[in-house]
Amino acid sequence: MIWDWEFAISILPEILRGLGVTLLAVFWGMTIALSLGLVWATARRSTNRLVAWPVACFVEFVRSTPLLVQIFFLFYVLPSLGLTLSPLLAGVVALGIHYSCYTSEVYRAGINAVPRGQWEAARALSFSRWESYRYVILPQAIPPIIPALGNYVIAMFKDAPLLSAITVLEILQRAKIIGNETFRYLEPFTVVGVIFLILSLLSGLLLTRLERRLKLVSA
Amino acid sequence: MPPPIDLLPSLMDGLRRTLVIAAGGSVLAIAFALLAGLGCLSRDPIVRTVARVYIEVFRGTSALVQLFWFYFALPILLGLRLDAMLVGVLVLGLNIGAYGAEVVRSAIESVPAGQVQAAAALSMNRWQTMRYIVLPQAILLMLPPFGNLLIELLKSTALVSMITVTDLTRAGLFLRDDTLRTAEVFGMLLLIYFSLSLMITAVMRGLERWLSHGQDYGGRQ
Amino acid sequence: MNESRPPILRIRDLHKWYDDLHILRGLSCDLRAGEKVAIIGPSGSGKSTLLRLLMTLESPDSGEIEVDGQAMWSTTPAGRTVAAGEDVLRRIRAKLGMVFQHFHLFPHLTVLRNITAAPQIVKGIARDAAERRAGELLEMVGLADKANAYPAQLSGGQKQRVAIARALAMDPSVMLFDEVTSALDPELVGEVQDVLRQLAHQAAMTMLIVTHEMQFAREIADHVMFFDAGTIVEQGAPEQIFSAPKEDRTREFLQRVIDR
Repeated sequence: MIWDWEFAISILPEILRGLGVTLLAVFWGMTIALSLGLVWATARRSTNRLVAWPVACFVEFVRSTPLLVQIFFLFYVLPSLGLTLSPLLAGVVALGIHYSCYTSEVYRAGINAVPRGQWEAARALSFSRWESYRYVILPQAIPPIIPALGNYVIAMFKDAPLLSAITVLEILQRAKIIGNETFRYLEPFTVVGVIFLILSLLSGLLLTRLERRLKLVSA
Repeated sequence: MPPPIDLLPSLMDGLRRTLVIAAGGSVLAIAFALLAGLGCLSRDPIVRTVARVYIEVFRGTSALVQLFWFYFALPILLGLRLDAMLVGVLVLGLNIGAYGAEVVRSAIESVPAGQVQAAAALSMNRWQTMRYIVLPQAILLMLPPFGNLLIELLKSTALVSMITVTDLTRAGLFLRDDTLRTAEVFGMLLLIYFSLSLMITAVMRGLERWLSHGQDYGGRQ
Repeated sequence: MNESRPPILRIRDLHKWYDDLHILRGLSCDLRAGEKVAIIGPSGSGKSTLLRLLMTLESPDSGEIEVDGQAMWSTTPAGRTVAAGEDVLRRIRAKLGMVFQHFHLFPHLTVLRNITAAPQIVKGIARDAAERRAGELLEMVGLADKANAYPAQLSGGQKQRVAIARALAMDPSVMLFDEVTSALDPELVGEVQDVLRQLAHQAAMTMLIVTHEMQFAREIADHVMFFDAGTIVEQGAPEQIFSAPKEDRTREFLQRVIDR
């Protein structure tokens, strides 16, 4: 047998510790992505072109370039500007910024789907632009897009192993270290793959149920 | 050459590899997407299951984990060493192909049922219906999401730098070690990838216009 | 009409359920070659379902269908309803042509290619022969000048005339018309009915016409069937059905649609 069950089980605790770091990175990364994305989305709808245009270009640029290079850029370039981030922090910020450019598109679609009449009604009640967003538009725009945002949580989870490139001790990095130390690569990488598969399938199922419930609520 | 243009020649070799991997991966991805997408709609339950499992496995795990598994773990099972470039092309093709399969499936499913019934009423069999009636209509629907997937694939080529392939990204890392011009090198990399993405977008737009020529469903007068 | 020849369509005790809805309840009827039959009746009475079963777009739950003496659906000695083999079905289907309420033209093909596609692909007819035949058919439906147009450029009436030409190009011996004027604006109904009238003059063509246009049914058909609740309530010559219906349900239905 090439596959060694005993070895596979013995490395499980170490790999699960790595999974903890991965999930932590996704949690904070998604927190950044959800807030920044909303900022980009509203900025792109701004009537001031000096705001809308640069943001649109930035979002397009980030979406069109590799996350890995962006991670390197943040990790290696910021110190030369006098801002040194720990590998994990740099990675979290990179994940957050990268995915904010995707969530911003989701927010935009959600906001665009709110009927024009709602803006006009808010205006008629003399809400300011900010108040219109806060009390009228966003409460209607966000619930329908929660499943789409959820998909980006899963996507970010699958991109989080890229942080191993800047030595973050996340799940893949730990598997690699185990492999390098024991010269057994089959078990660690397979275990990591299976963990990803299980968690993705589970969260996918969860998301479908959430989607169904949201549809019921809105129906 | 003025900086940072003087960095370009040292990146050319890497860029060439990135392009080869992106091109090879795209061809494979389209092939896998069509195979698995049609497989999902097959009447044979075994074919359907195989297609479904392929899609779930490659969409459910991380592309980087897949690269590591195929490069480090698979050779142990096969008993032979695989070329890193080859692994890169294969894994990116399989990974993006799995996402593409869903695009193919949903595009085919969105062709109205009446089209299939009309073909059946004209005695076409399943294959003829697919080949002459459904696919030509579905392909137009597939193009925009496929364009996005090809950009995803281009971006994912950077991951092969982590399994020792000296692509554009890895060439950049080496160049940074040599020159210590960190911001310029990484800025250059980002600009090159961005230009390549723009090119893909332009090509896909052109393809869309070319394919929809003369069959504007809105009614070209 | 020669009564001794076997019917071109023979339907026995056909049942079809949609979940809880018993849409066909033991339908039986015969059609002789060359007959022009109009099927009338309220919506949901199973008229269109019968056509869809004939075209094998759906399967019956029980019953028998024979086309030109060949069994399409038959009952085994054990009482199960089974379909003929795939190649037999395809041969039978080739004898039937169908025109749909919503046209279902292929939007990615020109009018000419819509008509030549099936003859070329299914029957393997050479391109120029298929195009010559398509040209004749387009002439017949009055659309010779639209050969290179795309469906999206046509009016509803023109689309439906192309759909008729497309079905005829396969040289069917039975044509099924499923409410072919229901989706049309009132001013376009006439041009499609004209094509049907023209077809009705062809002695060999068997036509099964599901329609809501009573005046048209009376004029074009030599036999009328009144469907209600999944069975044929009454059938006979158009004069008899429309002027002197025997059944109350027929009378009520005709009153309702004619008052409208």
